[in-house]
Amino acid sequence: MTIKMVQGTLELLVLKTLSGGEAMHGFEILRWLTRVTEGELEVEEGALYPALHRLERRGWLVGEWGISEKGRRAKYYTITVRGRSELRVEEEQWRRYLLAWERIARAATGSPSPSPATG
Amino acid sequence: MGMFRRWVAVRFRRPGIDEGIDWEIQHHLQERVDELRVRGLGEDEARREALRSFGDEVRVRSELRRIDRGLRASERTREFLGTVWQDVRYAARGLVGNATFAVAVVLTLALGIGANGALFSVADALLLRPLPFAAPEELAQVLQTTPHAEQGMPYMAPPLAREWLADQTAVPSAFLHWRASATYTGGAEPATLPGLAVTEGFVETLGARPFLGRGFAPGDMVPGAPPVVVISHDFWSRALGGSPHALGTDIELNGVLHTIIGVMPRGFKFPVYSTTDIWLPLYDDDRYFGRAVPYVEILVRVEGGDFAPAEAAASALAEALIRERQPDSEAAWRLDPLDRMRASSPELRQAMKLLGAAVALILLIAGVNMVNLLLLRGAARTREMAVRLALGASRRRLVRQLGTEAMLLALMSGVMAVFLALGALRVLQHIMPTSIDFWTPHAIELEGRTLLFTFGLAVLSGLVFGLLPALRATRVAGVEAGGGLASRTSPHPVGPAALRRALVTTEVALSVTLLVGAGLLIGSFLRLTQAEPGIDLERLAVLELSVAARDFPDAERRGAYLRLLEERIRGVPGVEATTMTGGLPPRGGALMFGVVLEGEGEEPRPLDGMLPTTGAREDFFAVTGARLAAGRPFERGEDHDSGVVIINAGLASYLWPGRSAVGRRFRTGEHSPWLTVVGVTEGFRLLPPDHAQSDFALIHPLGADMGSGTLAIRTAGDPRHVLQPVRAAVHGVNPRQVIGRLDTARSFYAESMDLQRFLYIVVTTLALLALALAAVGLYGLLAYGVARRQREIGVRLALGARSAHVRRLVVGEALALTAAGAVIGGAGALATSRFIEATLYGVEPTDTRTYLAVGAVIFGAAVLASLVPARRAARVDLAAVLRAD
Repeated sequence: MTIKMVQGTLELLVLKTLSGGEAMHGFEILRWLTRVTEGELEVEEGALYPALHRLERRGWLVGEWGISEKGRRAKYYTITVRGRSELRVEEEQWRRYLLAWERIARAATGSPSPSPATG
Repeated sequence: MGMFRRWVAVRFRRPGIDEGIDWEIQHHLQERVDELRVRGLGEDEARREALRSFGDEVRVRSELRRIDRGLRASERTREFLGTVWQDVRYAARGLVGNATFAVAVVLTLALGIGANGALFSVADALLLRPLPFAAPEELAQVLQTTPHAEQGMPYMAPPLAREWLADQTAVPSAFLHWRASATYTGGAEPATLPGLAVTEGFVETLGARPFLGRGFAPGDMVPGAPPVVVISHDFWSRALGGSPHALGTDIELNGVLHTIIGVMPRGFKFPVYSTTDIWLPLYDDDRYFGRAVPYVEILVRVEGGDFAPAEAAASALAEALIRERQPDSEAAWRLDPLDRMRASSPELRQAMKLLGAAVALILLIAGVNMVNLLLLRGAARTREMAVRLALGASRRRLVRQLGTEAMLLALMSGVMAVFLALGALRVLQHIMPTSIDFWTPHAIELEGRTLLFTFGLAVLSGLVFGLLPALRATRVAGVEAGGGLASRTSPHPVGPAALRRALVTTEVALSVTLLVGAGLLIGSFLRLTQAEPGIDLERLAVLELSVAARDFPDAERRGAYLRLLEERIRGVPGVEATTMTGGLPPRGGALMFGVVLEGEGEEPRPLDGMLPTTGAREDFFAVTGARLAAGRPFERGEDHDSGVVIINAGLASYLWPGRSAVGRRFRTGEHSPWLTVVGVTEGFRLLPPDHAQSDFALIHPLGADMGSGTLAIRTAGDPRHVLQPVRAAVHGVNPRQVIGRLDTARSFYAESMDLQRFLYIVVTTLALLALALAAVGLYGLLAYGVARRQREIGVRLALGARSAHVRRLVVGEALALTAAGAVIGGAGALATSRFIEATLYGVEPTDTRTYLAVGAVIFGAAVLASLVPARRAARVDLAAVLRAD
């Protein structure tokens, strides 16, 4: 069982992935997300690329064409300064959201460890 | 993450949108296939699985395409703005580094643009801008026509107009008005205020909002209601100091206190072509200060401006009402758009055209100057351009950069031009003919449209005058980059110097054209002032008096009052004699058309216009200095009914060519009484000399009971000294007596030439400006040429050429260019002479003396402009030149 992505979080995850400063192409981002969530998070491949391009258009990422280590033509994405500050804002909101969620869940069920919606 | 870069950014051709999407998706699928293969799937199976897990590829592609299009568009904009900003900074740096150049260009161009801006604001107020009312195209004047007079007249019998207004449904709003002035006695001395009596729809129909207070209400129109008045903004600030407390206060008009209920906005004019200070109620009984109003005019607003149906409806009702009163009348009504009057005053239109042409020439000269300066600067920077081209900058980019510089200069000129135009307008307002005040429906001031025009012109100048030098500089630099870069001795890169010489020649030619125009106008004005009206202007003062009929209802008392006034004035020290007249030059009195000569058939002799007339007493000739060529002056006791007249020599020789006019008779219509010519005056004219009917004048004997007239006052010395004492004498008799005008005869007469004076002053100023610009252009060309040919000149001098010879070389070039310019400019002036002809008096547009004088001026200026470069050339020191190299 994998977790379905909450609407609108894919862009945040992409920004977070690239926040290390490393340039990555789409497939690398996908692989990294799968690896760190140990396969728990199901990223829709068809949604990833539009997300990347949208971020590029907003100026939060820059895309650059290059040759990968396998010798293939690939588009590499890097986070921009504006992308970073956007990430900080979004992360903060998420933290507060999760905190609030936790409180609500605790108040409603008394359970100490709520989990996000499962699917 | 990785310590080293696992990928290489490669500068390959940037893929197109679809191509990039394709590459990216392909890459993804390949990577996926690799991964699946590692897990042991077969090639085909792996491909299928990769495609499946990617999802709906078509949808993804189209979404990516949409996003990328937006991305590319914003990239392009950003890139463009980036380079523009870069260009602007670059240009600004360049201009700061060469301030003399920048100031020279900005100043000349600003002069050109500013002159155009100032004139535009006058032309705009006078001719172009819509009338200052809400939806002015809906406003119309009602005219009554008959089959004999299809043009129609606006004057209606008040009862007819009232009845029509009450019954009509043709137009949504209308009002009646009657031109009427009133004597204001609240100022330093009594004055006649031009006014208008209006019915209550006045403010609403015009769609004007009072600046302060309100317009008229029906209650104000009831006879016997408390008198109220609406005043003009101008009168408010002039007489009441612009006080906000003026509302509700009283002013005395014709001896009656009127409460101020409203102040109209600044510049508001109605009637449009007039000056009006007060609007008063036109009472429901059609009486104005107790006297019946003889006629009214009607102004209507037609919704949507569709006049035809409204005209039909209005006329149908009017015709019915007219037939009730006068069954055989053929009168009808028609609507005349209010804006139509703009076509009037042909003199003013002609003047505006002339000035428009003059300022256009100035702008052209300033533009040519700018082109010249930019070319010079381009030449100085050829090396820089060549280096940049060689380093890979595209020519388009360089053109744009130079274009930006030109545009920056133009915009700075635009800003400066606004200030210059403002100053110019201030000055213009002092010398503007009074007729402009009358004919402009707007206040003349620098407003939005003028600003827009000025900046538009600046941008246009930047484009037109900036592009050519930019193209030229980069082309020459391109040649240079191709090979000449290393060579210090390569021919100078400005390219054919012929272009710059042609430009300077153009400047000279344009200023010659303008100088000829100015010269003709000056000549015309001089002739005008020399053409005296045949009275002694040196020792005469003029007093215009009007005695209100309501103050002296019977002729006897009015006559006694006037005699008393005249007696007191004669008692003023320095006054020798006085005589009452019907009007002195340049103001003729009543005018009539056509005359019938006795014994030469009943066919009236057409006069092609009007016959200027005035009235005179028996002492007219003795007092005014007018001369009698034949016959006798009037005799005491002769008046209007005596059937005698005196005519001037011009009229005499027109009516009876080659024969003596004295004793002959004529009349002005079939039923008019015969008039016997008893005298002929010489050189006497009533109208300004450039007026079509100026050669004709007719004088009839003046009765003793003139209600208003012009008093000629003969003085022993300078008439200026008696003006104040005469004023005091008049007010000593009656402190409420309005003095229309009190001045010396000379300045009274000079007023008739104010349009001509205005034209010649403005055009001459512009022509001198043009001359200065051309001289500067010539100087720049010569100085540059000398600097460029230092080596050659130095060698010549070293080889024994005399410095006088070198000087002659420089001056000779100046004269050659000037000669070419003068010939072209002179031809231009000849070709356009028709244009100025209508404005000239007594001067042919081909006047040889003017052309010769302009030639002398332009060659003089050329010699002056070449003096410094010539001296510099003669002092070139070859050794110093070589050291500097």
